[in-house]
Amino acid sequence: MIKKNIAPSSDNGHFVEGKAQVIDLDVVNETFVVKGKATITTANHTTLQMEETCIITCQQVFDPLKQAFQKSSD
Amino acid sequence: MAKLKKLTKEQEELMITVRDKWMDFIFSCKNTEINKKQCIEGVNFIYELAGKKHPEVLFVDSPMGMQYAYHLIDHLTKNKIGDSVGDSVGDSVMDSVRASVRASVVASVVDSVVDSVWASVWASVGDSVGASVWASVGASVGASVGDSVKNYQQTSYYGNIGDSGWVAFYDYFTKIGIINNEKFNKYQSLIESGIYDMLQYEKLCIVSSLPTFISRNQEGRLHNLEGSAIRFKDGYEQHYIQGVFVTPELFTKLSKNEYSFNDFIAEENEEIKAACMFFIREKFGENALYRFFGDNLKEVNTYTHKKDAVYLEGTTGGMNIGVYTLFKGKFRETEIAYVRCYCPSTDRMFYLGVEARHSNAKDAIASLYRVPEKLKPYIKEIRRQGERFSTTFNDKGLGILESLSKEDAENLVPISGNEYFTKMSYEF
Repeated sequence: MIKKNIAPSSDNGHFVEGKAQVIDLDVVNETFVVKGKATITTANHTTLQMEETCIITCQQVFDPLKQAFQKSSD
Repeated sequence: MAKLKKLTKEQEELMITVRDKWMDFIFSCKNTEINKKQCIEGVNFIYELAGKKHPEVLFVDSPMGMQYAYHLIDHLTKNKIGDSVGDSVGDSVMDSVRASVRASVVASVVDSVVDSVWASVWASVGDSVGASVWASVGASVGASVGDSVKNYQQTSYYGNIGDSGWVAFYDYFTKIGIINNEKFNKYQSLIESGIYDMLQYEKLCIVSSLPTFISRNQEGRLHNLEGSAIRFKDGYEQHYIQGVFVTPELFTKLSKNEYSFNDFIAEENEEIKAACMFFIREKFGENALYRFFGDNLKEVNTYTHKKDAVYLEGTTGGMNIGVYTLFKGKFRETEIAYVRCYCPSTDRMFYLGVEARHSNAKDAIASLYRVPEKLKPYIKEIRRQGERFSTTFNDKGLGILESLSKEDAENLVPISGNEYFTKMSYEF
């Protein structure tokens, strides 16, 4: 069983729990591959079940002051 | 011996009694005096499990007090309190106590009963106490210490109220006579001595007492619009709005109705933005929120994506789910645009920044999604939990994923509004 944070920049984190294998694809953008069935938990949202291999990506929001996209943080 | 297959009516009622006992122990805020003798016996016990000598035990009144106490004593004694033993103590409790009672229960009770007790006792207590209070407060103390005195000290993995969920679970099985594990009983006694958390070192264990005040919303998250949501005996307190930590300075600004659009634009944390919007609306009314944005943003377009009932399970089921509204305006001569949307799990309102080139809410919200460009043609399904997307692919996409290079992974692109909403299923 694992508990891997797939949202390192998040205050509360989003965690992959279960027997899935988690692979870091891109540390900066926080993109991960989750191989196999997984349960994803976090503090302020309902638990998400994934039945098959997926990639995790982070929402990008546009900062009007910087005129650039950046990772959405929570 | 045959496994327990079904709970009696009395045993079912006892689940609620045990759950309420543990919830009340924390949330009544009446157990703020640690039973020191009981606590020291428990601390000595978990150190013994880890093969450590008994430490000195120091009692303080808050998790922040623990951090200050550590730094002060470490400085005064010139680093004589030794290294942290939190990992080895935690491992020992895990192996010698938790694993042992788990094996006993699994051997004596059928899965359906275990699941039932888990849902009624462990999940309820664990979510309410462990996740919503202990984890939130700990993260915020960590952030505060990092900002002020640096060198945050990691608190215990085992030996805190975060244990309440699993301890309540095995407390129940003890009460119905399934287990009577001496080590677990000692550990439960430690948790019931009135501890909140601890820092564990070779020669010193610093223990905090429970909070004197806790305020939560209906979902059980820390929340108070009138003041702090959690307070400790030494005066340390934290402010929360719907489970989101806000600094005392921000809370004061919100309370005085001095939070400005400038503050909103500058805030990078979407949860904090949402918390501020909630505060303004609840405290000063819908019109105050309308005025807050009205000077800078005008409504341009709304897109509504209604979901099948199957995808609404686990959400609030409210009418705001799937409603996206694009707002545009000017701020300091810069074109700005935001999409208003609502969290399906909690109905919190978010304003997410988008490029001002957008003219419709559907494409605007989809422009915030990201996928490696090489995988874009092969998307099977998208699910969402807050700001994190989980995307699955067809067989060809999975083949490409197996050999995706670092450069390919870094090359993230959005998709159109049509494709986004065609592929999106669960959103929490």
